[in-house]
Amino acid sequence: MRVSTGRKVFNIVVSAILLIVALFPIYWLISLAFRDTAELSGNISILPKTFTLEHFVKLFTERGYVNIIKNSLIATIISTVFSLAFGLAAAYVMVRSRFHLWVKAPLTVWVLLIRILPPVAFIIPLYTTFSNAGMLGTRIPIIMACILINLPLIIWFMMTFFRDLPEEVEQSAKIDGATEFQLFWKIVLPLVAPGIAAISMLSFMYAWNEYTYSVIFIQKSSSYTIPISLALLNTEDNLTQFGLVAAGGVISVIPITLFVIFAQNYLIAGLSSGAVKE
Amino acid sequence: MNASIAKNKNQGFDQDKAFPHILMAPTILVMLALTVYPLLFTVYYSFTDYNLLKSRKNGVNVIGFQNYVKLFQNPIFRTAILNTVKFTICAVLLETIIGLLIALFVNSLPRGQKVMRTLLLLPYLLPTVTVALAWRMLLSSNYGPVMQWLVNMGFKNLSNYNVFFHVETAFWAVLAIDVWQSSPFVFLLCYASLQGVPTQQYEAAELDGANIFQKFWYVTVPNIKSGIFLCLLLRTIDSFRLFDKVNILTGGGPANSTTTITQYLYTFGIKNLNFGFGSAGALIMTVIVMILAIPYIRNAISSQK
Amino acid sequence: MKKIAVVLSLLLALCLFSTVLADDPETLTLILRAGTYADVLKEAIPAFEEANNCKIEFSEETFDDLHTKIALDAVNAEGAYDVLMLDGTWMTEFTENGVLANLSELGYSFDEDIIPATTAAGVDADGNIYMLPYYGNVTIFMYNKDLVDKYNDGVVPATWNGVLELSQKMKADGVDGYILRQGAGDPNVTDFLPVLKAFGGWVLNEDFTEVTLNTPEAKAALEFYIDLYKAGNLLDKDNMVAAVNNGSAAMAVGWPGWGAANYTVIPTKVSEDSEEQYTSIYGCWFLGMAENSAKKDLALKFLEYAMDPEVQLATVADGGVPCRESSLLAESTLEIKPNLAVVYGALSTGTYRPAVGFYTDLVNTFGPYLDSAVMGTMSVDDALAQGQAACEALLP
Repeated sequence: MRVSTGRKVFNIVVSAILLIVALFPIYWLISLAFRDTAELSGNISILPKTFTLEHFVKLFTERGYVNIIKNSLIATIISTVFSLAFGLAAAYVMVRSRFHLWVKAPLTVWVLLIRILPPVAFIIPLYTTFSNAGMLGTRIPIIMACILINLPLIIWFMMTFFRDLPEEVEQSAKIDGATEFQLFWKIVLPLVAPGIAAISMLSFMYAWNEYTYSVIFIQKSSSYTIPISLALLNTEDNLTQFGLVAAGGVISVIPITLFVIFAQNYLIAGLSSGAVKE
Repeated sequence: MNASIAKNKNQGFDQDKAFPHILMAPTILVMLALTVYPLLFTVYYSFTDYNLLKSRKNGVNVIGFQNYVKLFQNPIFRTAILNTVKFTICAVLLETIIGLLIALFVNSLPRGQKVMRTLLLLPYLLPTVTVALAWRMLLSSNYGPVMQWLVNMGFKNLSNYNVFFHVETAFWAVLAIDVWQSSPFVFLLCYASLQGVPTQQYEAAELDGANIFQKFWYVTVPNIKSGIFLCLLLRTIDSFRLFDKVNILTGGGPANSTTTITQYLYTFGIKNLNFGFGSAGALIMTVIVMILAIPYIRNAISSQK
Repeated sequence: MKKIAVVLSLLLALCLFSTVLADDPETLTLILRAGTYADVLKEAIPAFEEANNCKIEFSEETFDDLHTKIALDAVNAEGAYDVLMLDGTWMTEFTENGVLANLSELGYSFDEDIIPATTAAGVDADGNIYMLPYYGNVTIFMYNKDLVDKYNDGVVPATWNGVLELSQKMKADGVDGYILRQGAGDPNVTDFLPVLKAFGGWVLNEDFTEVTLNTPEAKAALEFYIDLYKAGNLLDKDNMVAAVNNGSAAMAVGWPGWGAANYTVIPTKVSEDSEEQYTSIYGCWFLGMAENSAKKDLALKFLEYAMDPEVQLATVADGGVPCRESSLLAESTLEIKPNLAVVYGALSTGTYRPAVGFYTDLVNTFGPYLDSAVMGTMSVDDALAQGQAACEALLP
């Protein structure tokens, strides 16, 4: 492709502006995390003058971040796995006309509705339920909340993928004697792998970032997750320790960034072949 | 051996019949437990004076539509609805336009598309709490570079200016941060659908002598229409629920200029334990969101058939 | 499929397993206000754990979440929290609804060393003790010494009129004088209260049966408060302290725990010849016990330990502000924290925010109106009249 010089300059300038706007706040977060407390006491320069790991050390030694990261990871992974398992199964049954279940139609509408309802509509009855069941001290409420957030999204997202698969493949496999389970597991799921990759990334992200339910459900500092501990660092009544907040912010971004860097090809493939082509 | 084959076959038969039930069961259970049941309670509470603490002594009394009447008479709730609608319209329009433009631009780059799309996606991946805190530090009058830079540029009266606490700027600051965070999502979806536009169509249009705008209008737009539609809907729903950012950055102030419906319900329904009142508000919000989402639901249902 | 099934059941088992891990009977759970208040108490925990062979867990919360979570947990048959950190304004709401254990019944009584004015908020009409003053928070007047030296020969104004005049003088020079604290609700209402009090006004009448926001006193106070804003600026807590400390602003009302370099008692009069008012506002943090705690004996032991004079004195070095005369006026204290003498003075002559069940609602309701008046989106008269009407709806 021929590219004129004018176009080249335009590309470079626009790219630079976009990157600065998108990344400067992130740069600021990262750079604050590594400056020492004295430098953070006001009139902070753009480029750091000091380098220290003290804020990270403090988070791990004084604020129990080992445990907090563990809590976040457990809740995120378990809830993502369960929502994926439930959601994939349900989405598949819901789009295949050979399965006759009366719940399919109402469930489709319901799932879409849940995706759009505000959390305040659920939070109090759920709290009461978990409390009566004696589950508040456990990880279950947070995991359930993440499932509640992700399951509708997964079902809705994966339905379009399953719909795009030609049913004939399944018919011929059935004639060859495959059971429905084998068919689903060995033939259908591999075909929608890009979709699964994309949606598991989004689900992981929503669960990792969950704040609204956690703030009500979590009872002890030993069960804090990262968003909760971050919000707490910010609203202490003494002066906000910007170094700690920034360091916590940096930690909060790491897993999802890794995920995207490694899985982004799937993500793009998944998104372009699935939902958006509806 | 024979018996086991027969059993297997028998099982296979049963399995196939049971298959859809087994696959649907977990989801139905989860939905019943986590959504149907709580929602029924919310509906019931909304007609009562349920207050977590006071109702221990006075019991829960059914008071009809009083909560709803109180809500609609409340000027702050009305402001919250207006703010939410204003925010949703501005955010969705800006995010869609900006996200689409970025997608078109990145898609046109001869080199470096992969790097660009990874880096530009980053703002969307940050937890909202982190985003709010990062921007708070960035725009802080004493700690942030932006205000310092403005003061050095000669705006001396801005030396103690906190953008989140003045009516002139607070709403727009929250909006700008939301646009910063969510445009990448629109960008991602649009970019993904641009990848699916067949190049032959562009070539054919070029042969017909179409200029760049005609190509955009007659080739690109029809191909990515559904992607854009999806962005509009998803962003509408999420913007309408705006809460974390407002709660951390402004708490609804100044002068109610950033109060949103969810923020209002959190303050006057959850924080003060008036769950009856809060439930009524949540239901009103549900109805509004449902009206907004009718096209989305209709589209999803019709495409299923 | 099998593999997945195995993995899933393992995960499920893990999940269930975590529920089975029941509470160790010797574990005491505290719910605390995050910040210095929690930090100083946490410092004292290991010694108690060792002496009583128990384990202490805690949860730290923001102001709003602390209130919500204590209330949410109170309706459970057996509470998750044993020892509670409490704001003085929650007393009525929590005792009326059986959230707090009656400490007098359990055998607790105050000793004479505790500053008498600070204990009042934790005692009900019949003399039963529910809350113990742990952290002596009271509003103080922060100032920048260099600016006060430069513009007022080092004299911190003793009247509110003096504060305004000095601010205006500085503003003419391009320096912000007085800083208002922003944040609709508790932050801005608490910031306004000293001015309101100085003008002879208050939020409620003496027996808490009437809202008194739409009065000539409140109007004069609000108009004055807006003048202060015009001669200064408004900021959030972090930037406010930074601005006063680094000299981009001169004066503000704050709390001792914020780390202001210089502070003194809040002016008690509007002008030289007006009546003196108790303008320091208490915001003490109290300790109490949950009525549904299953470990009342151990919890009481902990409360007694936390209130012990020696233990309290030891918190001073970490930023604690005991409500004890012996701790505040100890030589060792005044050596490292001379400012605590100011706090002692303020603690002895402060004003409580009205201890009514709906106080939290009241500030959340009035905050936005106050805010609108300061911002100029509402006239003073409208803000007060509408704020008054909205608050009257909260009266029981």
